[in-house]
Amino acid sequence: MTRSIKRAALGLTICFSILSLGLVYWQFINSDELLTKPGNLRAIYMEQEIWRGGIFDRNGEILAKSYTPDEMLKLVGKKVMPAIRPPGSNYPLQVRYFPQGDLFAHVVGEYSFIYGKTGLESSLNKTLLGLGPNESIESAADQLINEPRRGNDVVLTLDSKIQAAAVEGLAGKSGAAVAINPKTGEILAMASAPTFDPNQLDTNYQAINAIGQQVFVNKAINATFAPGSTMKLVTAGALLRSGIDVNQVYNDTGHDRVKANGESRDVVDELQGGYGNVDFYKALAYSSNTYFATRAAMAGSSQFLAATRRFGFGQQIPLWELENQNNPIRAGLVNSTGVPSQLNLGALMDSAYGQAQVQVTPLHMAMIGAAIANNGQMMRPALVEKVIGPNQQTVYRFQPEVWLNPLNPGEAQEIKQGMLDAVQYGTASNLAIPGISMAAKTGSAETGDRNKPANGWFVAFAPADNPVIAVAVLVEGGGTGAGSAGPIARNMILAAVRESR
Amino acid sequence: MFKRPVATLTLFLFPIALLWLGLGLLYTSGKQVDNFIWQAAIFSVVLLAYYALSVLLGYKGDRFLFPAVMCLTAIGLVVIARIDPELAKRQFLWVTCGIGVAALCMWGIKDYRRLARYQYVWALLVLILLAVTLIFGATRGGATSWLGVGSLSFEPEEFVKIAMIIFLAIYLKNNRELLTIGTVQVGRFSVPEPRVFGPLALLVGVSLLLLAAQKSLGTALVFYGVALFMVYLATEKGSYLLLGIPVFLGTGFLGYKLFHHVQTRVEIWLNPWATVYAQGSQIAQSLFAIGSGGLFGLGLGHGLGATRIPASETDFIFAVIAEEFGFIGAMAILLLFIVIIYRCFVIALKANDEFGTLLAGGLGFLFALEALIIVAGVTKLLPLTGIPLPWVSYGGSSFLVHMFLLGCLSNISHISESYGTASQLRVGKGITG
Repeated sequence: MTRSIKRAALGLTICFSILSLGLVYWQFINSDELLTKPGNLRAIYMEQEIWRGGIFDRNGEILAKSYTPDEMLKLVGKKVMPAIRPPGSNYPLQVRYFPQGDLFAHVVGEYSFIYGKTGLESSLNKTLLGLGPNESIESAADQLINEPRRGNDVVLTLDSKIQAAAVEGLAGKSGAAVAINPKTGEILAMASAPTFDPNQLDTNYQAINAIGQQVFVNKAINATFAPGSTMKLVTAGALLRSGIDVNQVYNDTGHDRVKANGESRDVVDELQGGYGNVDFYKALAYSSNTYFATRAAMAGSSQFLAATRRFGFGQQIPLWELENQNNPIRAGLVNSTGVPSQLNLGALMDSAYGQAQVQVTPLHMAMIGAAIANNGQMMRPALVEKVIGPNQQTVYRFQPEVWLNPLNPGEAQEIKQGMLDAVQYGTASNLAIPGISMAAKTGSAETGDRNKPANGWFVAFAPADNPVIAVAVLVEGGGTGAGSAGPIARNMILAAVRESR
Repeated sequence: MFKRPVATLTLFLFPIALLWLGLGLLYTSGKQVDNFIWQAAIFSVVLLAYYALSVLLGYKGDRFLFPAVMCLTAIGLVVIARIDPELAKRQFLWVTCGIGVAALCMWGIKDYRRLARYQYVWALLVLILLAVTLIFGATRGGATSWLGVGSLSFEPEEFVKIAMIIFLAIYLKNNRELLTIGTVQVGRFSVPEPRVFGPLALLVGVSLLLLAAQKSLGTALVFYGVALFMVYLATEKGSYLLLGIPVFLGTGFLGYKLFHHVQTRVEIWLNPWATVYAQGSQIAQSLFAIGSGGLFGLGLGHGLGATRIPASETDFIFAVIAEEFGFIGAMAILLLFIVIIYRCFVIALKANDEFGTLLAGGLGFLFALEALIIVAGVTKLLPLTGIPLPWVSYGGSSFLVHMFLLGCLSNISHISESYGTASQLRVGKGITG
């Protein structure tokens, strides 16, 4: 039996060596990654040794701020303690408080000891803690100091009043709304519905989670939808670039058929019988599917696809403020993230009015509207106005940058005219604002489920001659864009125009 | 009398020093240790008394095994005191009783060969204990493995280990030749006839079924592994091992298909991060704790795992050690186990008879397998099957049983050193029964 004992000893030695290699893996090779996993409180405890900076809107309203339990007593009338207290910390306890409740739950995000961080609280974590680019929380926590270190305050481009108009409009619905300053790219509002109160996450998680997992998704950037007729803004750009005569009249009978290269495709309008004789402007104003589908087929798929690329389809939107887990999803025409080299006739005609496999985020739709408002220049979207250091010094200040040039000024002007007509006599005429010239494009996108109402879209900007705001609103299952999304967009525009006066 | 009594005394001072040092560290990290002063003093005295008894009664056996086990015990006590002082008070009591049990087993049974007399009594004991648990047992942590007697509750499956291994050792000693050679010809292979193989297969099979019914998967795995190893040890035929692996994989696959909780275990193992706030929390928190340990650890009382990992004082105590004592501390635990297993195998090689060799070898493998399964579980090398880490984890049943087994090992060692090893006997007096 000696031989089998010796063999067993050898086998067990190998097994114990593997165990120790496992320890090496977790304790040395993979330990940094473990520190960043959700559910690991170690990093969040170390962060408690730095007094976290606040987050403010463009007018100085507090969106998120850290308070001591005593300050919380004055603020909310009861003593609030952190859900979990770091063991053996000598620093004052801090409670993260969001005075605006559910208004900014997705974009600013939540901050929880138990459920981690999301939104800007997560992506701007290092900035809020005042850590340098190469400084880790571990190294900062190691520096023993009597006074807690202080992080940076962050002032956002967001505007609480416009955000409130968006969130109130979306209340009880499901969808998203984004507002942008077309000239600078500053994001003025970014809302996703359903929403929740981040202050109640730790205490009321079950109830919030019961709404569904979608409650934690920022649909403005992390969900894509078929754009429906709002895609005609992009198609219009393609048609203008292909040299279409905007005044040439097309007889819209409500149905048309295109035959080319042995392929054949039908297209129908929303309105049975069609809109009669339409030119480029009327086609936009009434949202004629037949006009855009047949003209796109004539212009050809390469012309159409080039336009989508100019508008940023298939590209990562450089919204670095929400980097990492919150990257905006790319818009695309195939499998939601890519632009193919060619489309067949059917896909081209359906894509021209935003069906087929076209998928886009609400943020991207707002940027398309903003580019038309801004003479064809698409600005890099921005969320951070400035960063203020612990000694009130400005650490960072936002500078507008052009991201893409999808249209030349002439093309932008033509599309703007069509959008003005839509409000004057077309699909959005019920939403006209007295005294303010609003340009708009409605959309209703089928979701593929015939039993569900279509998703309602509304893309608009105002005032047309000197735009201060461009918005995109999506209401899931809302039906028509003018009926569901339009009123929300209108209220957001009113809030912005009132403020700019 | 120990061969070198003074050197052996220093070995006994190691665990005592570890315990007092640990309590000192606890005190400096701001924990209340006043309650433990007396307990630690009693531990020290009892340990020295065990040493004195060994010297007085003329113990001749292995002198490394017992101090190594006591080092693990002392570390366990300190860590349990850090996690939950109330539990530590009880564990101190179990440890004192356990040392008594080891002494009783060592000196009470006089000669381990007396255990070999009642083969089927042990087999019957295995089945009765398991069946009684299944019928009257209470469910804790998903497994029906607890039996309440008055205000005490204990885990019979721990006690089954004693009966099982002793039965296997007797049975294999008696049937070694028949199992090795085989009397029935199947193609090119000669296999033992069912009459020989039957009782073994039946007992192991029924035990595993009973354990599976209690959902004690970890213990079932330990039993299966030890039985397989002991058959290999007795026959020296690798074909038994080779046969055992597909049987194990097949059973595992069947269990995976049939039982929902097995599937859940595997899912958690593959991706604990997906359910980090639900089922995956235990293993995820364990890895977080291990990961933050680094080389030297965060220091006793400075880790989070002790409070964040569910069952940190029992199945997951290794993760707490890895966090607070780091890689060095975790490796120290593994090395102590290697020393213990090595000494078990040495005792097996030197044993007076085949029963002793099989028993000591089987026990060494039992300790190895238990440590491997739970440490691999908490480090995500294998799916987690919760079993205590021998001598370190909190728990009376496990500790007492392992101390009894330690007593058996000491006895085997003592007898072989007193009357000569099997090989010496063979040379001197021919083969003894």
